[in-house]
Amino acid sequence: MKYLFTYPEKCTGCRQCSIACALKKLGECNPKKGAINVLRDEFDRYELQFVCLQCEEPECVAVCMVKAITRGDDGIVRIDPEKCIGCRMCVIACPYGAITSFGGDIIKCDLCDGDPVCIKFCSTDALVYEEENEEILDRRKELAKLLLKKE
Amino acid sequence: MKIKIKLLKPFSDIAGKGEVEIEPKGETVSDVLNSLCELYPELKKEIFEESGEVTYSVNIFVNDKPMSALEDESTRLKDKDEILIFMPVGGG
Amino acid sequence: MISFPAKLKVGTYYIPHCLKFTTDTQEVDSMLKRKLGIIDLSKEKISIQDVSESLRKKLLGGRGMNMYYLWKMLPEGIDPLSPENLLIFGTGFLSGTLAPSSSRFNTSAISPETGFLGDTNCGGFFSAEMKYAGFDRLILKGKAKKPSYIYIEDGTIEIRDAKGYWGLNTLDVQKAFRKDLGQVEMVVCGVAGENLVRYACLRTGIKNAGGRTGMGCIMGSKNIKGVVAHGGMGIEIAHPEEMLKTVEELKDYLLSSKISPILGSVGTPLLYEVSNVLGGIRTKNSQLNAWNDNFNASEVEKFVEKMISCSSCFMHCRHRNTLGGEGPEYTALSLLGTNLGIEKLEDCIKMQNQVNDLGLDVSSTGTYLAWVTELYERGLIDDKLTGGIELKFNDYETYSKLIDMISRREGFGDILAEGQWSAGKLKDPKHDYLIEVKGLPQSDPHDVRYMKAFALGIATSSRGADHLRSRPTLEIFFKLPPEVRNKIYGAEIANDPATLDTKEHVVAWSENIFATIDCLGMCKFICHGFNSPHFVDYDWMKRLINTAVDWNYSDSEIREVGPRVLDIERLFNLSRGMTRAHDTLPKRYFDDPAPLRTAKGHHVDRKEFAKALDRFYEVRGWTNEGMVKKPRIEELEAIA
Repeated sequence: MKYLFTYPEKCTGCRQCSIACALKKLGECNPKKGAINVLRDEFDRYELQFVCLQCEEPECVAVCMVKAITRGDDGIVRIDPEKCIGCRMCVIACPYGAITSFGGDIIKCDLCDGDPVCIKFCSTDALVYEEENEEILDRRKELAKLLLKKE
Repeated sequence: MKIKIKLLKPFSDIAGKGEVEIEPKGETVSDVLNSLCELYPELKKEIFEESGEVTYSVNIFVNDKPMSALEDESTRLKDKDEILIFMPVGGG
Repeated sequence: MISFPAKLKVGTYYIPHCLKFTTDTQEVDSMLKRKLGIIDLSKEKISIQDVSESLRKKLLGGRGMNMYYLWKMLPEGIDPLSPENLLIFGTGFLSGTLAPSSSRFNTSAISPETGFLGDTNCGGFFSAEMKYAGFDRLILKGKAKKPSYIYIEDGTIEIRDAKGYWGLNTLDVQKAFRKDLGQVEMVVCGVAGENLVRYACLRTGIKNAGGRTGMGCIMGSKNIKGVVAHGGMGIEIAHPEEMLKTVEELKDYLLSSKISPILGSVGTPLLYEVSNVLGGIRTKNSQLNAWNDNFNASEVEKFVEKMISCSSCFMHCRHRNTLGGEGPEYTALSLLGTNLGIEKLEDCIKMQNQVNDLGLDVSSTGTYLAWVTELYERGLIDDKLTGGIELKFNDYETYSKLIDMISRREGFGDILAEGQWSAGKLKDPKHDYLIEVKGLPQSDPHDVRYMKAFALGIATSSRGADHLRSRPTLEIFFKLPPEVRNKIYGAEIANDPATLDTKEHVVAWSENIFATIDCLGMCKFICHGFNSPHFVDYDWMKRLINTAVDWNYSDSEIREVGPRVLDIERLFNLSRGMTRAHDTLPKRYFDDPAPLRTAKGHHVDRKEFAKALDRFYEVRGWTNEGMVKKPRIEELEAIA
């Protein structure tokens, strides 16, 4: 299964991922309403992305009392807006701060059902959509180069 | 004839040096560039398009004039002429 | 304590005053419904208005709309430091959207440094946040009774007490605003602005600046420490799928250029080496035109920790440096480096960090310091005037001390703080040794004695000696077939950089497209003709506009915006007393041939320049005296 992987060291803080997400899902340019959010602090000198990791055993599913959140057969965790009562327990429960609560809306990444729009707007590969085994293989190869000084 | 070529970034990074002196086969800018790319093959794709034309992301001066103010790649050179190769970038 | 003397009703509901900074009702607006806020600081009155769609179609936004309001609202004869001056913050038409590099805003007023048009363009994240707060323009008039700041959030504007913020420099004050108010974006002035240094600048973030023409000084003169924005109002787009598709295509196009990866890894310092080789670097107050290799990009790279972006930008050309700041840009490498005869790159970066923190403009500061150093060396000024300070090139310690003194108007710093207005005191009444046009020190590092199109550009730029109104480089820098090149410019262009012949077309074309992109709020770095013919041209601009709104904006409509802006700017300047005599060059560029490198022997011939200026006026449609013609004035007066 493919997941979104983030590399904060490559993130430039441009927020095009967030803006594209809100534009696709809600028709408005608004980085605060993206399912992916970039926390920028130029004074503490970092850029950090927050997005749902589509957990195998999601905390958000466990705490939702009205069963509005489910993990589908495709591995994607979705919130059903018809059932959601906006209590924000999922927002609090998520260990990764990946669910956004904004203006009465609860916003969570659904990987655009398999064709995520955010990755198309990242110019530095700080955000990729890859098979989990391929991603770990890529990263292990990078580490091998470093550890074994193979360039 | 001997032609001195000064390379600026990123071409200097790719060739590994900033100044090269060559004796080109031929006397036009084109000939000089070809000779240069024979010496440093990694430069070829930076300087030339697939079609063999010099790319727009390269600017070349012959002594104090840009190639475009002369005869582009067909400009004829003479001994001790200096060529400057750089990437045209703006900024402030 | 926070005071809220001016709360507003917006529409038919009242946004409750509260200390939380997210509201529960988020109104979604299209970009056509973003508001204009007019803030009378003296009377503490605020008016929030809509802007007519027909005006937006004529000037789009950003710089163009700012110019319109300056021209329409400011009567003649106003002193720039008086409360009657206006200070306009204007986001671009596409700022805050998915459009690439749509992060810019313009700030405009009468300049205290020149007395003519004051206008500065700045990046970062403030412009987008101002849009998300519901506004695309704020016009400040009058003067607050005590140090204050403006706070805007989700359709409301407040004037708040700046106690605790006034007196802080640009980094500390922004950290304080963030600590107290949350994840806000802001534009501020530093201590230099509070002390009315004529070239105090606006600042946002670690280094983004609205540098030129002293807009930070105007903030100080209005007792305004900053404008702080926070908003969640998204910009509703007419055709979201079209915008997504178009921007994805544009992104691929931009990043496919070989120039993009270089800009993104090294930034503007890349240009230093070639300018130095050709002999185009302002060195020691332009007494020389080339310097050492310590400022090459390969040296700057050693100080780079990470490359980062402004809002919505794919190019990430900004350096986070290992000395605790951001930068340096090419301009700083020269103005606070070579122009001061500095030999060590680290000294230059430290001065750049210092100048940014204090809120002083890099170009003006560097030019004035070089000016007085030469005057001192020539014996025109002495220790009595400088208060015992010995001035010599490459003296980092002294320069750093002077920069502090300028920001506090202390001792000799007080004389320097007046910029060109101190020319009499400094025994250079005719500005023989000051590299300026119209009173504005030259922005960029280029010694223009060789690249004549640049010379014409800085001579005619509407805000003074500046390379961002026009940047005529295409004609010599690119291997373009002549037919293509001539089609872009609409005329036969001479390729020789050393001639002024035909360059009026290059400058005018460049001015037009840059004015347009300034109206859109997109960064010039990706503008067609700034770095490359491969970037955002009129066609891309039109396509982006037509995804955002339902205008069916045409090719001819977009091409009319630039000339409109330039003519309005000219009218404004003419009303402030500008004449043909102001469209000129520093004496050194005319009379002193460049001493070094490829440029050796080159200078600008006065007669050739006069003829080029005649031709330039003709291309612009102006009279031989540089006046806008009457039918055109009538046309512009009727645009809304």
